[in-house]
Amino acid sequence: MLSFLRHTMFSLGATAFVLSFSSCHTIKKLELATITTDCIQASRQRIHNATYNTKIDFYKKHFSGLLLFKAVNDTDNRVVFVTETGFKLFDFEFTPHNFNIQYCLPPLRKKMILNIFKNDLGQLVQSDTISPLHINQKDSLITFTFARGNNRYEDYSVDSKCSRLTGIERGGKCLKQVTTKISGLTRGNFDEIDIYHRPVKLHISLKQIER
Amino acid sequence: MIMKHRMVYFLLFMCTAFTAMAQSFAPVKDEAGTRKKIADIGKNSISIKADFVQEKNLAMLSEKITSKGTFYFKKDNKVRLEYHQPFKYLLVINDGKILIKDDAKSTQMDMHKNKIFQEVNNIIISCVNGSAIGSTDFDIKMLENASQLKLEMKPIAKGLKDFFSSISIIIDKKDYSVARIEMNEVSGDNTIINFSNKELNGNMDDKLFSVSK
Repeated sequence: MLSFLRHTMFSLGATAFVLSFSSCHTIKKLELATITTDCIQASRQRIHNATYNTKIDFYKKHFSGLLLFKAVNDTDNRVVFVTETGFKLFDFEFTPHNFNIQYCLPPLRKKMILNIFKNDLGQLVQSDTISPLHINQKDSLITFTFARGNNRYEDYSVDSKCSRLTGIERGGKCLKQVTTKISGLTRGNFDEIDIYHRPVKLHISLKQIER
Repeated sequence: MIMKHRMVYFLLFMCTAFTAMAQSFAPVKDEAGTRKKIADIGKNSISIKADFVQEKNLAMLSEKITSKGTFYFKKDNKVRLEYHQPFKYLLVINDGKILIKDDAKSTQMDMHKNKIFQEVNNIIISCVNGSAIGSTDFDIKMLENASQLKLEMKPIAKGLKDFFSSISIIIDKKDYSVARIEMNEVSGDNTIINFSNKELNGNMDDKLFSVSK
């Protein structure tokens, strides 16, 4: 039994290593000068004013509510989470250089929880003004990679037609811990968003609803 | 031409004045009698079914989230809130247990483990069955106009005071049923629930309040 487990673990480890190694080397590098404005614009698509029916699954716990995104001006955004019955759980402000907690229910005021919301929601409202570290084309996606310091990177992928942002990955150079899948675009806001955290069983799912 | 304009302005002024008069409230003349009436009707209230429109107003953002659904109440403390628009969501509270169903999952929990639901449940039930009138958690002012009563409730209890600046309940005088609940938060936000198509004391199946998944 133990040797079987050891063998399985070794096989999984080897497969992961080969996959991660190959995923770093089967991509075509592109120069920023060759990228169209449409592509750059698509990589900078973010949510401005929209409401999302939101579900959060954390291990066996399930939570739901409404996430309201509002652009206060050209650079600042507010994201408010309200339960279906109308109780506000948090109200965060995102500015280009700051994350401000306007309101947060005390049980949620924990460093780990706040960091998750700051990063997961921040990536959906704040776009980069800096140039990407590099741009790659892999399969039908064009990916803009930004360096975030401490060997942390963020990949923003757009479809081959450069019409919309399709996903965001955050983590190390090869292994990304947080994957965000984006589908559809209505009135300039994403239709559906799924955020998966690999190290912990956390899945945040957003579906745009009519205001 | 000028006469026509004057006429329009006069009519607009009259409409506004009448609306303001219809909505303005003055202190209740017979406070003890009204309190007794509300408490008695609440005690005899067996069931309530009503449609509701819930508005969450986020003051700082000038934003409003509107949802619609059906509300059920059955004596003593069974509550069912069905949200139909713009999302599907069901909340059932029965005998200390809560059932929540959204389009993805059903969750059952004990009410005492969730302070928020406990507060929501207490507020809704005490507003609907009239027991709020005797609550020591609030300082209550009673107002009235020709067709409605208004209970202006200022929280005294610490937990409530931290969250709500006031709660107003509007009651229709014709049947003493709740027409509107306004929950004003300290932050300036508020939640307004308007009830319509009310069915009072009709037969209501206990299955509606089942909290099993």
